[in-house]
Amino acid sequence: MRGIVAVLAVLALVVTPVDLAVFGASSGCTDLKRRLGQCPSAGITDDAVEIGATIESPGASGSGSDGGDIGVGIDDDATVDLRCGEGVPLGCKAIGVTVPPATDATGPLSITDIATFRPQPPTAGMQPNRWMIVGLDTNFYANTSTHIVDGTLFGDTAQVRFTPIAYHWDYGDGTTATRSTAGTTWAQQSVPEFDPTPTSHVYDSPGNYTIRLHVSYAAEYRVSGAGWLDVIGTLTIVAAPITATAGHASTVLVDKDCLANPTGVGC
Amino acid sequence: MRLPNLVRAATGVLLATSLSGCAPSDASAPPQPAATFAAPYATDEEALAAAEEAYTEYTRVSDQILHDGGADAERLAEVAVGSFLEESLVELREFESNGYRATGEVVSSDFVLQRYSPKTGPLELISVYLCSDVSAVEIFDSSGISLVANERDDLATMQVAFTFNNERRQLLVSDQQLWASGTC
Repeated sequence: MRGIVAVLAVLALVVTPVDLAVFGASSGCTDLKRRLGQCPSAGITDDAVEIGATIESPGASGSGSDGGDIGVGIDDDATVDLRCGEGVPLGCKAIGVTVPPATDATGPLSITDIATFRPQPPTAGMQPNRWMIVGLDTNFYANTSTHIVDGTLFGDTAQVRFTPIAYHWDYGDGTTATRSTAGTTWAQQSVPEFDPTPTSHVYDSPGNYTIRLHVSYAAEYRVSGAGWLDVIGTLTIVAAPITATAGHASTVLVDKDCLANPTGVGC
Repeated sequence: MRLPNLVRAATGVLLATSLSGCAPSDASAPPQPAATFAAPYATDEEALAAAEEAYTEYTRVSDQILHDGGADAERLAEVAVGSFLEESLVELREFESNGYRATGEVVSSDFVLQRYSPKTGPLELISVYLCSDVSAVEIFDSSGISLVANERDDLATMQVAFTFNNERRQLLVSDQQLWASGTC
C-alpha cells in the first residue's frame, strides 16, 4: 500500500548530484530531509495538482555506506496529475506516468494507469415547480452534497471526495447569482410559501424562462486509505436546466367562496 | 372576474404537487464507523491541541537525535510510527554512519486543523497544517561542510498526520508532507 503513496508523493525537487548528501526517495518529508532542504514539493497549475519526482542518484556519491552502484546514474521519475475540469469536463482524471525500471532507462515513458473520477451531477429544484408569480419570491435549491467517488490507481484503491462550495444560478431573466448554500424547500426552512429565502429570486416580468445551475466542487483525493490531499482548483458541473413560466397573479376580496356563491362580489 | 380564483385554485394544486414531490434528497453517505474505536477527543479544538502537543514533542526528540549525531535513533519510536518512522530511522542511521551532525532547532507554529476523523479509527486520526521554520538548523558533514541545500526554504507549511496509539493513549506522527514551500 505504501508504495502507491510513495509514487504519489515523491519529489518534484530535482536533486542535483553535487556534493550534498542525498537521502533516498521516500513517501514523506522526514525531519532530516526537511532540514536539508530535500523535501518533496507539490507543483500547482491552473487546474491541477502536479506531484512529480525526479531524483538523480549520483551513484558514486561517496557518502553511501554500501559502496555499490558505481557509474551510471539512475533516474527515477514518477508523476501523478489529478486534473479536474480540464479536458475532462465532467470529472477529475488521475494520470500516472512512470518510467521503466533503471535497467531500461532509455525506454519510452509509459502511462501505467488512468482513473477517472466523476462527481454525481447536481440537480436543480424550484418552488413553485416550474412556474413563478411575478413579483413574488421563487425558491430555488440545489440537490447535491459532499460525496466520495471510488476508483483505482495503479491497481490500488483511490478516492476523490467532492464537496460543493458554490452554486451559480442563471435565472434566465438576465440576472445571475452565486450562492454559498444549496438552499432547501420552504417547508424545510419552516417559512411560508413565497417568502424570501437565502436562495430565492424574484421575476419582474411574465414569460418563459430557462433556469440553469452550475455547482462548483472542491476536490480532495487519497490513495490506499492515506490522508486526504487537496486538489487545487475547483470543478464546475452543470445541472440539467429547468424551464418555467412566470405569470401574474392578483388577489381580490370576495364574498364567500366563489364556488359556493358564484354571483358574489368579486367572483 | 373568475380568473383570480381559478389561478388560486391552480396554485393550490401545483403547490401541493411541488411540495410533496420535490423535497431535496440528502444523499450524503456518512463514513462507516470503526467497530470498537472510541474517539479520544470530544472536539476539534481538543484534537488540535493534542496534535500540537504531540508534534512539539516529536520535534524535540527529532532535534535531540540529530544533535547527537543520529545516535540512539530508535528514540524516535516514542513519537512517530509506521513507515514514516521506518524511513526516518533508515536516514538517521545513514546520518550517524556518515558522521554528520546538526545544530539548531526547528520551530513550529500556526497549527491549523485539517481533519479530525474520530469515526474512522485510530489510523491517521488527525491531520494538521503547521508552519515549520528551520532557519536555525544547520547540518554539517564530518569535515564541517554544510549539507543544507542552497534552495532550502526556511519557512514551509507542512501537512502532518497523526495516528493514535490506543495502548499508550498517545498521538504519534505517521506522515509528514511538504505542503507549500517558502510560505506559511
